[in-house]
Amino acid sequence: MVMQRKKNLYLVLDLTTRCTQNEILHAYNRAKSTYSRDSLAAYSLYDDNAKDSILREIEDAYHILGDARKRRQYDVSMGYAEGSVDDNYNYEDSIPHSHTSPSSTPIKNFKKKLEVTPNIRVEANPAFETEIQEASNLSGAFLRSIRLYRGYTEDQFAGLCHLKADHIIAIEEEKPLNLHHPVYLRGHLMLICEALQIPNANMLAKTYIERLQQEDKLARNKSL
Amino acid sequence: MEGIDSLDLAVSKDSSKDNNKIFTDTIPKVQTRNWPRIWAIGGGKGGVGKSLISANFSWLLAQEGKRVLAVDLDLGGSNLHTCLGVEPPRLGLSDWIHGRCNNLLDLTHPTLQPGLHMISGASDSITVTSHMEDRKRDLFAELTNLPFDEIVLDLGAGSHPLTVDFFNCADEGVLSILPEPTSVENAYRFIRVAFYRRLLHCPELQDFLSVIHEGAEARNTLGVRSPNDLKEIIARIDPKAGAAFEREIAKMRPNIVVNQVRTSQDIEIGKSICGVSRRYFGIDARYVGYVDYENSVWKAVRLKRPAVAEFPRSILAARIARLTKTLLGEESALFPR
Repeated sequence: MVMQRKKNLYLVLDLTTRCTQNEILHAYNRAKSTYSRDSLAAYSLYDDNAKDSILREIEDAYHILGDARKRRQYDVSMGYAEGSVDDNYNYEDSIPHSHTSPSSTPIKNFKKKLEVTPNIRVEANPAFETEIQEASNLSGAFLRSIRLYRGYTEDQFAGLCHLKADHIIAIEEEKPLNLHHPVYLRGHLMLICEALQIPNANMLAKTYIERLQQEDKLARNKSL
Repeated sequence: MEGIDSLDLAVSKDSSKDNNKIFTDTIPKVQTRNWPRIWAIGGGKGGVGKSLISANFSWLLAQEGKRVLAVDLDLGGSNLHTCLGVEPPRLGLSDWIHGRCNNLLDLTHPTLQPGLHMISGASDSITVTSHMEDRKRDLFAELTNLPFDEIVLDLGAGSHPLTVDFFNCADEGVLSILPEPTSVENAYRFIRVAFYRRLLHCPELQDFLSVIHEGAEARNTLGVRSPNDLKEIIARIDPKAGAAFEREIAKMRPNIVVNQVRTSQDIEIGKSICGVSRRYFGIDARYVGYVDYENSVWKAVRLKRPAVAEFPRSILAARIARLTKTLLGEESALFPR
């Protein structure tokens, strides 16, 4: 195999060679945001031309690493993975340089959801996925189990929903009075359902609130 | 250099090797737990939460049962004592600097948290910074001999070489940054000064002082666009010096804290700053945590008490507790994982 002096594309995206495809996607989005022209993180260090040049590198790296097949070839050619690859393989040949101009690729229009990377890895569970899709009522414990299944910590998930972590905890523990503004409970539940990809958010939020109201009523009757 | 003007590196280009003695290497570094571990909390700008983090972090360390000393090194505007709920002390560092008190232990004041003591900063002298320059080695040497487990240095604002040297000499440096352009700019300036101060003090790079000085200039003739480029140039001239350069910079691992976060994008900025630091400076910064923009901060300041003591159930207290655990290695950093 012809070993050429090649760039470590993982470093371009601040990744290690063991990362998952999902992590590559998140790192790519973060890197594009980091070196965008209005970026705060790169403020005062890089001018617009330098940022554009870095963005081209990022696009090139993602072009290879974002495609599992091309990534595999690249990994083998760099010695990061075992296997065989054509002696004449050069990852740079597969980068269509004409499309990598940052000016032609809008960098802002990626989903905000992708800015938060789940950090808990959970095996896919088709049965649980079906249960989520067919859910007809909602409880705090169910929400927590889905959040953990989706791989989010409380802090991460709070960031994803633009809520505070204690709001997430209050909802999962079914203690709506712990919310700073309980009046927003329905809105919070809708946001959480959307972030956890639970369908029928409106109907499910209603079941959650009605059940808590019912329990509250029963508790008050008991105390009388 | 793009964006940032050239800096006062405060080491004369004509300095002889003897005069340019290595501050970092003359100080006994903490090798075992018989020595106190020294933390430096900086930020490059005023009002970014250095004293907030210093006070609350020290408090939590003491709550863990450690013997902790918080030292106010903000010589121009010391107020750590207020954050820790201590009345303005009669004696402070200025007394030690001017020789009115020869033992740092005599300057320590207890706080309301058992195990936590503090040394107040300077308050009465306009010449204290220049005197401190002469005595910084003595100060570090004395600090490392004090009977404490952890020493937290609350650094002053700005990137004065004295402040940066304290940061470089500490076992762990923490940089508090706000998600605002002014703070980010000053934080990078602080890292940049720390970067070049390290190189200038590295014994194996003393033959390259002129190259380092030239590379540090905004409009240099070497074609250095970032500090990382300088490494390539030095390595091309002398591979051994290039290796020394890398070793020296590998020691620089600032811990990044983003303060006053309001949105999830603010939280993400810490990760981006680590990425930019690696690309531009070639250093591995760690994003160790963030602190929310919260009312409990100003309420605690008005009550002259640390937020973790006054509002232990607040989100702020939870964030600082998490930050403390991350700094102590009990939790993983937010980035890189």
